[in-house]
Amino acid sequence: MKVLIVEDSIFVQKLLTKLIVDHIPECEIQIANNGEQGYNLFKEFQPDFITTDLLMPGLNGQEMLRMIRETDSKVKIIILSADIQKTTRDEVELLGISGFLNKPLTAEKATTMIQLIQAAYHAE
Amino acid sequence: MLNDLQKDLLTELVNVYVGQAANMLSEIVDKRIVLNIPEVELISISDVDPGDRRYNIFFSEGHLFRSSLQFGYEFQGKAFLMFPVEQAKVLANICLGELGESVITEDPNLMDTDLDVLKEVSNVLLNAIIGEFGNFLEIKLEYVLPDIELIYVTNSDQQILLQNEVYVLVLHTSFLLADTDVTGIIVIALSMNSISSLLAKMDALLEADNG
Repeated sequence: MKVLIVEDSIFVQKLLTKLIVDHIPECEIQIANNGEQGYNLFKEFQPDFITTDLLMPGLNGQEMLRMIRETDSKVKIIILSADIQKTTRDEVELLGISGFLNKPLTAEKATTMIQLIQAAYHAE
Repeated sequence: MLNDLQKDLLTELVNVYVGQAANMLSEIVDKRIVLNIPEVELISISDVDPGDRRYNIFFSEGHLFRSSLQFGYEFQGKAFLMFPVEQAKVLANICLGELGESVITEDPNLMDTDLDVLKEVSNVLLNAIIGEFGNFLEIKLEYVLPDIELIYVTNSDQQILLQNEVYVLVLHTSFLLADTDVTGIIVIALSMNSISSLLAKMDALLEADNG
């Protein structure tokens, strides 16, 4: 199981890494600091699951998502963003996502994220 | 500029939005947040008397951690979240502690890891408030990447307000993290056009309520 974390905050990167490693230790994790790095890692690393922020320097998460969906409609993608606007959620949902979680990552949302990763894992 | 009904509705909206943001902060730090009732004032910068306590949005003279989130285009402005530096350090330590990171509580200086945490926390809080304005107005707000800086302010300093804007919506609200002395202040500055859009939407809501 390969998971790609696309997130510009080191704090959230560590939080997500810890969460995933604690629950699914066999996961292989790669981290990107922005959408451009994320897109490049998506091509090289070929993850099964991507969690991405939206507002990031350079290429943002929504643009990265659009680029990924041009070539790959299967990879599971979950958004973890502070953006609580309904219009934003509607726009990214049209691009095909498995979930949209608003920051902060609470225990409840962390559970949801792990369940989504595990579901993707078992669907392999 | 605001009539009583508009002010009442705006205070109520801000109260709810700040309450949601405070709830998010509470979830991050696992502590209760004590909220003060927000004071909402729509003021002209030229009318601001630094000596007027209502507009004295600063803490005492000293160094502040200030995070800002700029947003546009249909609804344009900038939101600020500020903490005195030593309290920002406490907040960062609490967040890093939640992550299980070792923190050096004796060092009062903000390290890169502290700034990263504070930027993320500010981003979540300011998005929670500004995003709800977008939802209320039924428009999509575009954000510029949040900015953080350490500034030194004096009691007569007005640099926290947007200098290019004529009017600002001042949310003078403070919150306190239980068992700590961490107090934060949120200020939102809006362009004149944005204030007009907000008032038009509020008036429509008030009219519908009366009709």
